[in-house]
Amino acid sequence: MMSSERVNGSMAGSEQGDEPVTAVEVTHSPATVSSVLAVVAAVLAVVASATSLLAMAVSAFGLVGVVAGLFAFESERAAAIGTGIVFVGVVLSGVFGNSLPLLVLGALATVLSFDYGQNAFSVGSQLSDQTDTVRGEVVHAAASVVVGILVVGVAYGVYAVAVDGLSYGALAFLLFGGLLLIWGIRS
Amino acid sequence: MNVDEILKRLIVGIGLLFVVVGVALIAVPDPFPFGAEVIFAAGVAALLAAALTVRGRLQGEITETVMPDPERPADNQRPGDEVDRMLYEMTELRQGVAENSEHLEERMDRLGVAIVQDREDCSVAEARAVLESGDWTDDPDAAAFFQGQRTEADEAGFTGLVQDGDDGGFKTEFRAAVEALLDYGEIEVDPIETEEPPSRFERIFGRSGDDDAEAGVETNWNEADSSIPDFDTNGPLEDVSLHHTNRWLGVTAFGLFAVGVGVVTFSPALMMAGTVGIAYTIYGRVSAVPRVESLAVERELEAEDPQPGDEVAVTVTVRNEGDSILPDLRLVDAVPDAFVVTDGVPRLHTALRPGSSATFSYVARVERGEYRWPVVCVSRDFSGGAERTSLLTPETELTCVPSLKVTNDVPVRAQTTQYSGDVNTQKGGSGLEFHSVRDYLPGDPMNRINWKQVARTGDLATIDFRQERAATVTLLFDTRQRAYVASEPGKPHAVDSAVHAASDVFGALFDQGNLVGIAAFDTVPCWYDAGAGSEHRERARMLFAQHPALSPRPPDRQDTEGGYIDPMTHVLRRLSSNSQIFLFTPLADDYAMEVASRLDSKGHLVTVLSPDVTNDQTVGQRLTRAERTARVRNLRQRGIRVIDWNPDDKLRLQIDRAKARWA
Repeated sequence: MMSSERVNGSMAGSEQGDEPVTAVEVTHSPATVSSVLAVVAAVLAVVASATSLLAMAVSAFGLVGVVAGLFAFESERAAAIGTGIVFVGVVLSGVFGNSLPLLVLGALATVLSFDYGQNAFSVGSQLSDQTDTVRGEVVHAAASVVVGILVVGVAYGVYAVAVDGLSYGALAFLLFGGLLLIWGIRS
Repeated sequence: MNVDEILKRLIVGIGLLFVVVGVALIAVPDPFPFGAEVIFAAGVAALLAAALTVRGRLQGEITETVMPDPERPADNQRPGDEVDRMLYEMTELRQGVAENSEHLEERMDRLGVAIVQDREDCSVAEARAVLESGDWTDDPDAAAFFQGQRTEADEAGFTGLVQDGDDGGFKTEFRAAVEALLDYGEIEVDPIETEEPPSRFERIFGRSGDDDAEAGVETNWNEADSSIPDFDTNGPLEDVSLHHTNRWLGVTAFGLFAVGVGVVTFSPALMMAGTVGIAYTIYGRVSAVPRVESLAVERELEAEDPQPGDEVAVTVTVRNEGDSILPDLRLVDAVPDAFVVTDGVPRLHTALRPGSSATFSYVARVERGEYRWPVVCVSRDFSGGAERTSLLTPETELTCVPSLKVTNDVPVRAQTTQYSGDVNTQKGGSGLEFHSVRDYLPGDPMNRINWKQVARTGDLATIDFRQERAATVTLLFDTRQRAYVASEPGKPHAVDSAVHAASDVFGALFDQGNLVGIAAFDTVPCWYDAGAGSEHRERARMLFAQHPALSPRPPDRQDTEGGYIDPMTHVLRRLSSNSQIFLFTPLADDYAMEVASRLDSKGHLVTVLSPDVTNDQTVGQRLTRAERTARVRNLRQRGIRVIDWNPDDKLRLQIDRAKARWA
């Protein structure tokens, strides 16, 4: 038949039956940059608490939790608890007489680790592993560091100026008062 | 004034009091009004508060927008899923034992009878007798399935089932019966390679394990797995939500703990370290609404006029046209459900200074239809404390219309109309191919008179040629929800396969000069009268692309058995009596088969084009394959042409094969 020949001659390959479509695999692991930064910050906190062996042991244990939570279990809760334990280590080192600069550094590093860890999970779940997230993560991390530097600067200033003349009770009351005010005033 | 308000004021009041006392202590350090015990108690209170904060963090919810996963292929039902689900419910959950077993037994009974009838060529009663005798199989379990059901299930109700449901007695027999029927009916199946994936059931019945575990959702039915209720939007910017993320929840604990321990151990250094935690609490609470209004989104498509199934590169550009920085932007392109992203990811995380821009690109396999879709934008402030979710919709539209290109030669059958066309009929008349010579009748055209015979005998005779006539063909689609099944996730479902094939078939039939119409039986009536001409063809193209009944997305309605209108009613009312039918259906249930035989008995010549989307990896899938094969055989026995077509192969080859069989 005429039409049949023409058709066979111009056979273009129909759409169906082309190779099966493979969709892009989507995974939601914690974002890499923030994860690494969180671990780096936690390591810094461990180092800052290293003036006492016991304190360092505790915070190192917390560090293991952070690493496991971010990379092994991918569990936000595990990472957050790990950060908490790191901080317990830092505070313990303070109890055993760590110096002020190291303590502030340790506290700052722990809070940053907490922030980055949470951000890693947040970016991971809202976007995905294959996404280009570097710029966003770096900007977030940098903003947190800037805030940290400001805080430390102010804290040092207050300490240098006032603590000598500041009674221990006054400091406690001011801090508690400030905390309660922050809690109370929330938009 | 509610309790929260009072509590808040109380806290603020106490805070103010503390600050005043602190300042007073600085001013007048000497008369220390309380003993150290009070301060010590305050330290202990701080530690308690820290513990409470930690608890709040661990129990509290971080309210982040859940983004859709538009890359994932559509998770269409697979044929047989409902059978597997029923078996699962019965054996694992102990639910609906009576109804499910009744339903399954009924299906098995029908299938068994059909297969036995096909093989033994006997009546229904005889077939049932064969099944109940148990001689048809060597497997005692399989034989027991058909023998036991009448007596036990009817008399003892479902108690018997529940008792041996412990070791899956019903399931074992059911499995054995399906296997035996497949064997008896000589139906080709591969051995089951993997056991039934449990994730399937976890997906249906909710996931187990903790929230952090990767959710087993494998769907891109966008709304289902995201916290954004709807992606239909008209305006260029639509706000979905603005909320606090609570991501800093618990950071106060660092401050409280350090200060508390510092107070208890009389360590000013620790108290100072605690200020870090307090400072970040403030940082997290100071939040500004990100100015998403100034974000301009453009989407560029690489292809102008893509065909269904084409891969189109998409590039999305975002530009901050405002004068404030957007520090944290999380963008997901809400690619329509029917599309599959095959390369790249339609997502980006970035920060944009005023005037700067960022792009991301991906490749998507497009499907027929008209689309305009938004970019989901989650924008946060620096700290991430506030989150604004909005849908930004660029102007770009994508229209994907099948070309109706001719790739197949489609066999048309002898039922024709009065219009001249391409189909050779058995009738003599004017035409090209010699048919017969007959006596002259007055009025016969002069150029058909057989002059040789006149010269030889002196009698007038007329030559008849085979008449070539056009056929009326209606392409009829089964687009009920049941037809939206795919053999594997990510593969096109049966309706997609059918419409792709039909756009080829349409072109071929049209080029042969036939009158081609389109209809679908569904709750959305779809009817396009048979016709000819290039305008007809063009409108058919648009209909393939736009008609809701032929949409790549399954209809939302479930077609329930009760109180339903026969979806074929509107088709039957309009179908002309001499129309041939090309029925596109996966033959997923008996209804589709009935439609074919009903049309056949009304005198239409029916050709069924059935994409085979059944699988053979679970009991249910095997059962549906057997059922479908039985349906195909049944239709063929009634003289209805069936092109049993594996969507992985080219339709042309299958048609050639079928033609060879029919010839």
